Amino acid sequence: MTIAEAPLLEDTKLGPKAGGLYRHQNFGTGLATGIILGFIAWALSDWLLQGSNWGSDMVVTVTCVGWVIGFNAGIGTFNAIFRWTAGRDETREDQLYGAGVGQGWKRYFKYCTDHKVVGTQYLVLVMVLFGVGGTLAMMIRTQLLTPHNQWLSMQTYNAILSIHGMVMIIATIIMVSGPFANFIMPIMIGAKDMAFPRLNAMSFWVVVSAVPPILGSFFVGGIDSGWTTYAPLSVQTSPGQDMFSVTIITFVVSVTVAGINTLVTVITMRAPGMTMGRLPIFVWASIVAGTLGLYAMPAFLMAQSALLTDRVVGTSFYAPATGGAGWLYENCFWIMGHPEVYVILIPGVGALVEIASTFARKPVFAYKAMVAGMLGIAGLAIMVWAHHMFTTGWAPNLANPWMLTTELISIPTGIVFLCLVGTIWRGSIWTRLPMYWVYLFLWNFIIGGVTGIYLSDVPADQYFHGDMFVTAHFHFTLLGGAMIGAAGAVCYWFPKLSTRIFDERLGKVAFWFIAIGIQVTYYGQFWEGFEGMPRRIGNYATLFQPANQMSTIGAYILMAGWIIFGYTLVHSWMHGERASANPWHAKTLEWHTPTPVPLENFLVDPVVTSDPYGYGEPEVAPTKEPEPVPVGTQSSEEGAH
Amino acid sequence: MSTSHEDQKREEISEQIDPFFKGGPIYRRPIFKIGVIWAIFTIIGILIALLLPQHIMPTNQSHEFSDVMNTVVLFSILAAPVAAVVWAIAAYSLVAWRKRMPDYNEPPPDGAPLRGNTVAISAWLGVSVFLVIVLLVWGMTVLGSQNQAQANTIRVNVTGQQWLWNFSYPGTGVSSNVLELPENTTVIFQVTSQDVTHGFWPVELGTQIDANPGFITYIQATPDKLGRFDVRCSQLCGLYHSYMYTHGEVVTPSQFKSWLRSQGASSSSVNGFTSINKTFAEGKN
Amino acid sequence: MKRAIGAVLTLVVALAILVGVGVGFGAQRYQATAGTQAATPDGTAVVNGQTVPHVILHLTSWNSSCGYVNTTTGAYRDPTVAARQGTTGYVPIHHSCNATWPAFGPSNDYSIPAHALVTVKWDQYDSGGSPNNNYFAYPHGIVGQELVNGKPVDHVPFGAMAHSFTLRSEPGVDPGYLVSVASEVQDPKDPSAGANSGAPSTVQFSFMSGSKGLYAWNCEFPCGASIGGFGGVMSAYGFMSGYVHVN
Repeated sequence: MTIAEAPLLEDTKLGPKAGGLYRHQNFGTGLATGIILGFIAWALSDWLLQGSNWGSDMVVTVTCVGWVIGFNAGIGTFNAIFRWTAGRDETREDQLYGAGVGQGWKRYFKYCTDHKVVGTQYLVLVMVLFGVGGTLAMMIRTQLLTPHNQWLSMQTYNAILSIHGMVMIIATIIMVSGPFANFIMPIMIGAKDMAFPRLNAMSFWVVVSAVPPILGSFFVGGIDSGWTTYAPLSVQTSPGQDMFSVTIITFVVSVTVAGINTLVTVITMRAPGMTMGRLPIFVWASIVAGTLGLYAMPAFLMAQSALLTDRVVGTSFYAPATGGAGWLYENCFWIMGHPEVYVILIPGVGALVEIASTFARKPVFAYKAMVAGMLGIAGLAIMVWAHHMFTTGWAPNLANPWMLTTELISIPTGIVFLCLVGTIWRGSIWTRLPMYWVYLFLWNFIIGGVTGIYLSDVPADQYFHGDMFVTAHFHFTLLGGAMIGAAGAVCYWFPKLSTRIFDERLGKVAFWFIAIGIQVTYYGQFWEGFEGMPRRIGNYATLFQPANQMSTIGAYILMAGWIIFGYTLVHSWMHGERASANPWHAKTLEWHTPTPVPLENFLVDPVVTSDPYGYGEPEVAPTKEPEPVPVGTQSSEEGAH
Repeated sequence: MSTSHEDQKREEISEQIDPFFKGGPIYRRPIFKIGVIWAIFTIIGILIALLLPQHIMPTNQSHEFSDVMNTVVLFSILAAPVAAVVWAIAAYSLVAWRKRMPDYNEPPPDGAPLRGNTVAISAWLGVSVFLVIVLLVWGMTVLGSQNQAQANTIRVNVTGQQWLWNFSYPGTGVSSNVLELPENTTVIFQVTSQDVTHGFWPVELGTQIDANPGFITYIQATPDKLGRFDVRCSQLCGLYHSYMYTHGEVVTPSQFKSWLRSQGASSSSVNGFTSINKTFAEGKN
Repeated sequence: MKRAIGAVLTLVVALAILVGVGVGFGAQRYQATAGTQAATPDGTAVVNGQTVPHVILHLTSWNSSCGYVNTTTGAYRDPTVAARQGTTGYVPIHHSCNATWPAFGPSNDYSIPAHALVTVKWDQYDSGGSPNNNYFAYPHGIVGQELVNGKPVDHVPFGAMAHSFTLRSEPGVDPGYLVSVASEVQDPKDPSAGANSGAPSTVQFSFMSGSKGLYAWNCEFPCGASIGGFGGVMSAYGFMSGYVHVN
């Protein structure tokens, strides 16, 4: 059979019973089951605990757990487990149904195992989360326009800043790994899907189920402990804290599963010829970040679980009066908290390196050093967490070792810059929209990174800790660095995801609003920090007002930029200029498959003969040209789905 | 890994197009131009480092605050050339290496196939390591000098609770919501909290430490300038965290002793409190 | 052109959402059922040889936030009686009645003139116990002495403290300003007993108000749930915390 004659897998006609229970499940059934089970859990626990001391914390926790389990049961997360235990595991037809065959647009609202669908679902979720987090940010900045603003009560303000932080953290962790490590990365390595497609769908829907509890915390009094929810304050907080903890526990499950999935996919499912040395940098970034998340996120789960039991059943992990210590929480938290920022940053950086290479028409500079740099960042990230605790009074004798490890991280980070700058050096710069984000990153992340160095110096940190300088630093690195990487990734891979080009004129308008917005907003916050304004305060002394006004004006500019970006994304998706399979004339594998991408990603099994950065180099012909094999005709089926 | 045969071919091509470190004439001009841009960025950065911080930071009232200022200035001065390298190359690339094609959708011809340059990578690494060592040695030295046990010290108990600070001077029975301190005397703060974690931050003294319930933490400061300073809470502690504010005064040692007496301390306890160092007890102003 | 209109329209919709969410959050703000209570003028007084305006402020701390207060006489009507006799002329102590939570009411927001002598007359109905910090059992920042049940005292008995009214100045204004006065439990023989009815324990003290600004007050006797006793009622704005507007 020739390739032209081979039938497309997505055109397979499925029987009427294919998919089993999945046929009847979708987002709506998930919502319904979640609400019902949550309600039953609430009613039952409320009735059982009448008049007991355990009261509202237990009820709230049980309700949220009921919601999470119910939603996931309703959408189909548990189907596979039950079928396998019952000895009736999925047939080939069921698997094809699970991958979305024959369902059209409806598959985006179902438990769909096709990694491309999951990637797109993540993109939408990320946009929703940024919308929520961004709205909360605008509330904060508006409140801080005047020093004694009483529009938001202090209780509401604390709740808003805490939820803003957590929603943004969730959004930034999944903003590049979700859409692009799912959609693009398997295609980049020549695989047909992820190693565990059902777990892939599960990761997505579990995050969706984790979001309502944290937003629900506003309705039970909000939380007043920041996104870091330090104990013992968080032990004292209203029942909103329990909802927060349930969200975190649920979210961590999703992230760790996604990390395993990424790692196993890259290790086991690379196409023939795709050696580790030919892996695109973005793939390296995905596995480094995924593995780092795998290490770090369970620490958060532990910290929050202990917090939950302290609140709900009266353990004393964090209660000093009965033998606990707030420091225990802080350590567990930051063991997650520091690697987590690299989980956020590294995929974005990986995407920017791909963009730099494509749009400078040059190979990635110092590829091996770049990979070593990413591994170095990840390795060191595990050893620096207590630099967030320099002023806690815990282990003052260890200040010097932590200072050492923290300052060492600047070396592999410098390698990242070397790679980007070296890739641009003597390139043929093609200034399309994706390339704009690389340049913005080069500006922003220097500022963010350098200000981190100030904070790593213990004596200086004893002034700057807990003030707006810290806030400005991490916003520069997370927003100005990682989110810019995400924006670049969106513009770059948009043709593959949506079959259209991201509108460049509007995109550039958005770019300039965002670029200028970031500078104005966060220079204002650096100013506040130098002046000595503490962070997380809703009313401040009048002397901080000019700096706050500058920051708020910048925030509105930034908001406009992101909204225009979002609008452009949606508009381009629906009405943009149609893209060819490889509009950027790039060399990585995902550009060598048709757009829209076929169900199993390729029409022939790819065989890799060189790395994807051969710009400016003559084609190196393989010693033996392999016969093209249409997908689906050989035993290339094992391991798929 | 790619075959060594491919690597070799690439090396050959790279060498032909990139005689950079072989002294090729083509690349001295970009280096010079980039160097000029670099110098401009560096000078602006150093000027900002020298002029800006003291204008927007609070009054320097202690040895520790001086350490902070010196660190900020030094780190900014060292950061300026590093940032400038990246920005200069980025700026130059947009000017000199940008290729505008007649058809917007047509990619420019490929750039030079530079996959690496051992000298560049080693130099970059070397400078990074050197800078890190400088920063580290600086930080460790400053931290070491701050932690040295001082001869004349007084101790002040700091208690944070939601949402107020109060201070007591052990042995004198004096409790106050205002932190009165004598000039040029090292004070060790013994800090704790009654409920949740607070951050004890006497701003112009350039140092801070968390107040943890159930534990006492210690930080020292040596005020060296008379005047008022602010004490703010730097760790979110609940509803009124924004208002957890008080202030302190650095006064002369004799004013300090009379203040203690005015708060109800007996003369003997005042002398006991301040007698740790003879020069202090003799009322050296 | 269409794209530009689309982008602008999206911005407008986004701003509208922002305003909507903002209004929603703003509406969450607790507003006392009796609004902001202004201190009543009472002529002038002489403090340290200077003549200053004199005002009187009434505070009441209740054992339970459920119930109604007569706006003219200050009398209490409990919820069952109110159900029978109606609530004309009465306001609830607190919007969200929580039987086990004490509250300052019916207002927790007060307004006083700047640089004036403020005499506070405080009726205290609640129970109490030992504070976690004896500092707050002593009066601070007052003119003259604290009167508990008509008698001048040095400090409220350490085992029978109920609440404190602790007022701090706005950040950056009037450095060092602090007024803190404690009250005694309703029944000193049984500190854990309190009720919204019966005879309150009374406190009277005077203090000089500071410069214009927004001052925050809160109670520094932890009687709430959880760690340090500052959870629950102590962390919910409006029960044991409020503002003083100094004009």
